[in-house]
Amino acid sequence: MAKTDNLQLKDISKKEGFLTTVDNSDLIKLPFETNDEEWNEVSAEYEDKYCSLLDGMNVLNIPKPKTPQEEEELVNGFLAGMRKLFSPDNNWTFLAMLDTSMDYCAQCNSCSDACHLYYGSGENEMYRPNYRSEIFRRIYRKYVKKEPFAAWRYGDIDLNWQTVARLGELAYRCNLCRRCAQTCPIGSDNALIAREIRKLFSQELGIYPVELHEKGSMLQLSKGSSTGMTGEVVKSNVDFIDEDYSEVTGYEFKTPWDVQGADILLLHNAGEIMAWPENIAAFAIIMEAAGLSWTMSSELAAYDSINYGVFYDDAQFARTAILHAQAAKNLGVKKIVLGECGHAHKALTIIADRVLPPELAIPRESCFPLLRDIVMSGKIKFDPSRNDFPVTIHDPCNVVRLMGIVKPQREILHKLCPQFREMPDNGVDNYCCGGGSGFAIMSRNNIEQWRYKISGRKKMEQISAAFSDCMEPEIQKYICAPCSNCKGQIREMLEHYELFEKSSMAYGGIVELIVNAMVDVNPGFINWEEE
Amino acid sequence: MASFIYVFSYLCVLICLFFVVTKVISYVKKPLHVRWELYPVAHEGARASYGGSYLEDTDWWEKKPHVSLISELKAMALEIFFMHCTFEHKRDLWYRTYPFHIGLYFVIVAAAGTGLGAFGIVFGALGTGGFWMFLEQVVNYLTAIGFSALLIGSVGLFLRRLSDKGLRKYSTMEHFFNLALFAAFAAFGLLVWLSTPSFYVLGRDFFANMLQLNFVALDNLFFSVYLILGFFAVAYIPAGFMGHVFMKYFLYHDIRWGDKPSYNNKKIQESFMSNLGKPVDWKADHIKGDGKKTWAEVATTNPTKTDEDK
Repeated sequence: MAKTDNLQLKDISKKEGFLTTVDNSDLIKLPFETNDEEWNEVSAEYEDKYCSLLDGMNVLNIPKPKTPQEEEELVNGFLAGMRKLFSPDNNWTFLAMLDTSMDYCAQCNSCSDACHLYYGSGENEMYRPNYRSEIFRRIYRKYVKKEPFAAWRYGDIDLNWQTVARLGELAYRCNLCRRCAQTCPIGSDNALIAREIRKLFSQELGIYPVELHEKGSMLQLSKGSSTGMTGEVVKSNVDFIDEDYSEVTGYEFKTPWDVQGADILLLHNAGEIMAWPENIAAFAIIMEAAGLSWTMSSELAAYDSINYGVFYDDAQFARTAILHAQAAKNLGVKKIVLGECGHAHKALTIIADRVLPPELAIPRESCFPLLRDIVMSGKIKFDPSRNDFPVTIHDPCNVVRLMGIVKPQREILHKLCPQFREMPDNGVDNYCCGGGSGFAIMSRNNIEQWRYKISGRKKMEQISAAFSDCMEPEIQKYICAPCSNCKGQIREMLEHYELFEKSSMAYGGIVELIVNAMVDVNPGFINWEEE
Repeated sequence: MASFIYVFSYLCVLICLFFVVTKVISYVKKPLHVRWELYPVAHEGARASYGGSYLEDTDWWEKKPHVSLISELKAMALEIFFMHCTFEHKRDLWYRTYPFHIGLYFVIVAAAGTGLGAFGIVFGALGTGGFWMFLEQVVNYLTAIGFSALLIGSVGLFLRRLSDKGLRKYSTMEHFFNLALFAAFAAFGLLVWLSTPSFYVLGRDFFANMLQLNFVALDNLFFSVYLILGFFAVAYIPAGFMGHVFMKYFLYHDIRWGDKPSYNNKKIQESFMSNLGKPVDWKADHIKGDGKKTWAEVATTNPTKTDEDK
């Protein structure tokens, strides 16, 4: 019997204390030593200032109400936001999906079995995708819709400031990977409900994770990138990467900037420039070797493909998407190609599709089909024996389950990596890396621990299974994770569990493998020591 | 009593129609939403087998959209008649919910067959041999199988909700009431089937009388209760979450499989452009909606720029 079997929906409203905790003994076992540490205690200063009522991890930093009036304001603000979520004017973007997900869930709990957090937490009740949704539904029916006999028909729930604070925080116990929605026989989408609760908090109450808002979308809108780099700084950094990697690879290349009338505007996640310059270099080498007409842009936000609004806020989403499209229009490019960043793929290609006005509808496409075409075209000579080590691929949810881009990556890997192998549950059935929906860039208030202990656990189980025949450190292995967010999460998991040292597991994108196999490039583009 | 059942039946059919029409209209009148598809998308044809999409092609917007109706119909048939999603992802539930649903389908098809017989009476086309005898046999077999499966399924689902601790706390009075209703309906249906020479004849004559406003008294108590439960279910199903029986069409076709791009699609473009003119009322500082400012204005305002910057 799971320890949280006694946790009830109505417990969300209890006046004091955590809703639940996940003990180390609840965590799933991995096929290597994990040495899980205990959760950090929440400090008294923090608890005095902010609400810390869910489980000891605090993403939102919700100011703690000090007076009955402030308590009432929090509840009323929440209800006002909830009404707006169901208004065609305020929420035309997601109303159809939200409404149907509220009304037609049959409460069969199929979604629980699909969730890596429910699994990774040792089946903690709070992590059922439906736990959060059902609380939200009950509040909506009782306090907003005011349906007759709502409490009797659907179950009662008490709405107090603690309920609001816990529910807001609970919206951040989901990676928005939508694996749960995929297994729902009806089509109800619990991940969407989590996102809409996040949106309510952001758009109505002005409460959001600092990494997504102040240090994320706001910084991008003011400086041009959540890294804080301005256009000039980014150009200078990329120039340095060009020089450095021209020398390393023996392949002379220069990233073109702000080229009017180029065919392609390449949009990178600017985090790559800071953390994984080899990815930026590899893209440039491939584009140059293939003889493509391409450019990068130094306009505001156009050198950073991230769009954190997709995780929590429609207004921030639309503003960023417009800046991306506007830059492409200003350059007169034929299309935008998105680099290895999953959420940027979905944001600009799929969601922005019904947000960008026709004059800004510059076609957008993923880098993977383009890379596949280049690799298969014969324009570049490859030596697959340079990649003769075990390689597996992690499928970024945004690219695969949410966009249906499955095969191009695999065609490349099958051609260039003789020891390529799939992990269990791959393709559209993949599991999130555990850093999805912004978590990969968060590392405070127990969030980092949560990523090791709970959210990334399933992914590590999958990776271990893919390499089960070669776990020994003598064999170097490569986890291809073609998404900045996923790479960030996998990097920290490997570091935390010391898998670089203990099992020679390295990680990186797909372009690094392509360049590593290029005959015209010095051997050893993948630097195992640095990995 | 006789006229009550007839009036009740008419009323229930009208209520059912009201809920179905209201819910469908309410959905289709909603503003065009952003795309939120989830793969596999059935109409992708061969690509659907692994969850691929047209976005796997370079310059996808220059290619003719490939929509495979056969692939979509195949996926729909698998889902409707086999409950493929539950089979794949929740097998222990499938063993109970499949007989429940397939039982309902059998009962509905049998009811349609009975209705056909009733029309035969109304239009004077009813014969005694050949097709009509075959129809009677089919309906009687279908009802027996349908009621049995429905009873097994609904009792199985009821017990599962009671016994599964995880499910128990998400099960409301409405869930238990619904399943009890179906179990009772199926049980009375079986009693009628067992206690009469031909269920088909009983049903056919009732439908014919309904159609002709001929309120003939019913002398079978089981059949009367069965009719009341059945017509109540007809009115009740579309009112609550069981409305998924028809709303699932939109959940799948419009949301999950809704991958139509706006590129070169004037209808979609006009639709979402009108959305951008909708007023915004969100109160957070980075939006400052006042009920007059539009989405287009919000989206083209940079909250980090002061008037001087602009």
